[in-house]
Amino acid sequence: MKYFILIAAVFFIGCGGEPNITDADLDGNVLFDPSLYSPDQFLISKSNPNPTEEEKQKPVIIAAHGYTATTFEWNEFKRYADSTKADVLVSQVLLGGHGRTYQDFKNSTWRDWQASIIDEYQNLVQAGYRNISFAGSSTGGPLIVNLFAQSFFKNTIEPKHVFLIDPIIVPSNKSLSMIGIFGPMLGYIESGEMTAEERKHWYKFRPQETLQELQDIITITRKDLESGIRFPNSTHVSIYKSLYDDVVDRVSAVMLYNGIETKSPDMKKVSLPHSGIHVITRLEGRAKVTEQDRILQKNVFDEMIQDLKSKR
Amino acid sequence: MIYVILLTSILFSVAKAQDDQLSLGFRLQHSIHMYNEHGITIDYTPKNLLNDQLSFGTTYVSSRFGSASNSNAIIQDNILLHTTYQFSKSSLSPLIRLNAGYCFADYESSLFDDIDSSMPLLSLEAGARYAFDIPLKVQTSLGYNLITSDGSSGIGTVYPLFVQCTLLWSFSL
Repeated sequence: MKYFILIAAVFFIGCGGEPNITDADLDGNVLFDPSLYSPDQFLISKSNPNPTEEEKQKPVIIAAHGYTATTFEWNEFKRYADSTKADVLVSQVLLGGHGRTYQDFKNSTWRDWQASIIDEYQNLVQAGYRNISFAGSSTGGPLIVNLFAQSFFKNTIEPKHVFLIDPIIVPSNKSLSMIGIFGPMLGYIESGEMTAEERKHWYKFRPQETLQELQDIITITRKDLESGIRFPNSTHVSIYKSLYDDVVDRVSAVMLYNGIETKSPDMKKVSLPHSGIHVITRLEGRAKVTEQDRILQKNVFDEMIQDLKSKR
Repeated sequence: MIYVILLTSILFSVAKAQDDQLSLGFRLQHSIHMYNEHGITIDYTPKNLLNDQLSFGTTYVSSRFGSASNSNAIIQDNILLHTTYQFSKSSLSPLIRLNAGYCFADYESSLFDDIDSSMPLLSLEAGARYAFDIPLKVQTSLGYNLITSDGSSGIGTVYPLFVQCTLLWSFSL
């Protein structure tokens, strides 16, 4: 029924105009992601471009956020790693086209989004870092997995571990599959209810062009997974997928687990927590957070840090 | 309830059959941005029911004969009861179809036991049928699944829009 409402809305509204963006929205020309002003506070390649021999062996994790999000999505993990003196370096990349303006986002492609992840990886390798891992939340997941499908790591440093947090291969709302038909008529889609904090760090308006890009990267990744994606010999993978997530369908975890081939079966893990949160590792800025959510977040952070430290 | 109506209609029609028509064939189906699922279909057209323009049948399509063949795609089996109405008896005719049934998925690991592996299906199709001079018919249509997963229940690989092509060979009973 929701699709019929969507279709009816398309015909009543007609061609979508420009969204009503306010200065309180990230989409506007006032708020930008802080990593654009101070990259050295977010990227390890900028904060420590000349590591010592000891630092080169430390685990560095490149954390990529999801569609419409910003570096904010991985702030809590970085704070947790720092506060627990985990000796893990967290490099928070801002995906291309994100954290800027609505128009910048509208003009970006999924390859632009992915380029920031590639740049940081290459900068870290060039600086001499040898113990590099990845974490991707939501759309960050397929953007990272796509690098493995392209054999990007064939002649370079093999990543140690890949953490996928609520990675999207199949959206919960299946109307995304019809964005190619209705998108041009809609122009953009407004996000559901957001807190004031979320409006500072997530785009509120989703240009249909970027939704089509999202559909493209998840379709490409799904097909790659169907063919099988062989991870390098030393790369482990952990998939965390909440069971009652209204953004990403839980069948995404099945596709990733069955489609990723690691050197041995024990190098691949999947966890399906009974949570209704999309991106279980980000609680800050949410309207409602339970004690159970906090426990789950801490458990995931602890497991990630333990996995990273075990691969020195 | 839909199944009961469909089954009752079929049984009622079979009981009164005279020169009824049975068609057997293959169905090729593609969900937009998801899997190819192929299988078989049986169609029964009772004589003198709505001028021979209403038929009933059953269909089995599966990704195991499509996307999941030699790949990691999820195996899903769809069993449908359907009723089709063709708008004329001429060789080319528009048609509409109602499908109701069940989808069963196999995730191939007990790790995914918490994820639903079956769900009801209800879909509508609109398209056309072409009948050749020989007892061969081709049906093509655009379909819409009225029930899809919301990410927290059901099978996530059941997508809303699909296209299908069915080849049917008819026999008089």
